[in-house]
Amino acid sequence: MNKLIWGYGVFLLIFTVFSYLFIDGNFPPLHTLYTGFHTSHRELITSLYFIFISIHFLFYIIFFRTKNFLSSTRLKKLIILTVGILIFSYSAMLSFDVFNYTTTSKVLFFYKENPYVTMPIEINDSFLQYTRASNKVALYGPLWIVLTGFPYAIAQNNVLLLLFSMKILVTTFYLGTGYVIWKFSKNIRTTALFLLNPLVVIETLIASHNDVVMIFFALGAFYMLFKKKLVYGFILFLSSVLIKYATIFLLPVFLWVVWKNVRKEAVNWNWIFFLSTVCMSIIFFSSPLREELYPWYFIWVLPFVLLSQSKNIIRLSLIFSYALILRYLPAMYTGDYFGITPIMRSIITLMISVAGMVVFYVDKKFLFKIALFLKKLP
Amino acid sequence: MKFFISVLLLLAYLFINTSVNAAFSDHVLPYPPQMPGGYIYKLRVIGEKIQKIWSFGSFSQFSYNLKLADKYLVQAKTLFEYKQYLLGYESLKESDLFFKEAITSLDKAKIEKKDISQKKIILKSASLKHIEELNTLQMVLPEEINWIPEKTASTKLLLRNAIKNSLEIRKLIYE
Repeated sequence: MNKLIWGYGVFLLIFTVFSYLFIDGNFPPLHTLYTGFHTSHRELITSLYFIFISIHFLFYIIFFRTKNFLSSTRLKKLIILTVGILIFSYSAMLSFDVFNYTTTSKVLFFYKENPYVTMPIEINDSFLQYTRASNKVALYGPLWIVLTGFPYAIAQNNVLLLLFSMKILVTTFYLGTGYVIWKFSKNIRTTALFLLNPLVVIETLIASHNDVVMIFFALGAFYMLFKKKLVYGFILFLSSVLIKYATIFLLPVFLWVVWKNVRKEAVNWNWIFFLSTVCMSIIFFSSPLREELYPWYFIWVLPFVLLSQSKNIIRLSLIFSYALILRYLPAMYTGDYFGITPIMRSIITLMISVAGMVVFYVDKKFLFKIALFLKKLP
Repeated sequence: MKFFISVLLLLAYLFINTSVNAAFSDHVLPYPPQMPGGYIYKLRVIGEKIQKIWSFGSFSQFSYNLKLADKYLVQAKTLFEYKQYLLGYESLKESDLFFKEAITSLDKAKIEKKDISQKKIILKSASLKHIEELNTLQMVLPEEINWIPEKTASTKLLLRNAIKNSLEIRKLIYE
């Protein structure tokens, strides 16, 4: 058992080193570590990424398939290991969003400008070298921008420190989300399914995406309703919407629970989480209408899927996690976000999802046949 | 003699042409906004006050003030066209105020050690456009007018003086 944990630790360590092969040449603090490897060895980097992600998912499956492996202590060990190692990974490995966070934070807290009015490009600062959305006003909710004040207070104008303190902020909410899932489910497996999911781990602990912050507040709001604390529930729900707006789609479900609470009627929480899954799936699957189906958007759906306790949907969502995290492959290989890349991305997601479902179906039939065979044995 | 006249004409053409180019500006003024006299206008003014609070920070304030200077100039121009001299006069004064505020915002940004070079280009371009519009107005507006409203006392409006004053404010940035 311990070998498995150590193996996982070594894997995470290698993956952390791997993340530094993606350093942006225009990011001044890490310029000395820049190798340009991800642009000069595209085939190799794409293959390595595919292998690493597959290994990560393999570990994930083994954790759940190994009998009596997942205990409270082991889960804590695994989480400490995951957080403790990946906190040192390079955040902009797969997405440059973290630079948008740090830049928006600097626009507000250093330049004292309203980031919803003033674009970073209007301010001549070194952040323009590596910020991708510099020609846009703030994209995120006001509460998120206020929260980034904490990392800014720690790091001030040290961009590298700001990058890592941003990661600490997001990690805190990742752990918080795990805690709320645990409080709701009282189930180690459900909590572990979220906290150890490679998509969640990579998009949160490496890429520092703020989606987990939004989900923490949304789950917290439902938990407050569960505890019959309506006012706190409303505050947390509003906080969630003010992080990234997407959870506004949960409003009908939220109000329904409030209504049930007011009428002092019993609430079927599995049903509530199933409805929440449906609501968040609508906004998730309609994201290509606005931009595209970003892998980290699945964090909007996953916690509700896990809490709905619907086994088939959980398995499908795990297959989908794998399909989504591999969407980076085409851009990694071509170095281009246009042309054939978007089509390839869709093909990858579709193919893996379909293949996963077929395997899942065959697996079920196969397991059923084995069970029958075993029953016939004397 | 013919040669001399030709050279003179050419020089005159070049001079006129250059002066036209010098006044040309890429700055685009907005569509005429809601005009005074209705509830929607009152709502617009309330919206502007909220926007002022929202636009904190010297650069944000600069964008806000310049946007409103443009808006009120277009409003003044439209009102003058419809011979609403008193309202036009007041709108012009508002535009002047916002333009001055835009300059102040930029001065504040300079004190805060922000790079104002791009904003200065924007302000100069806007000022050229404003001067262009004000020159046109100066040509068509009467020197002064005695504005007699329906129920209140009459007001003497020194329109040309007002335009002259507005032009001077727009030229402040060149000092």
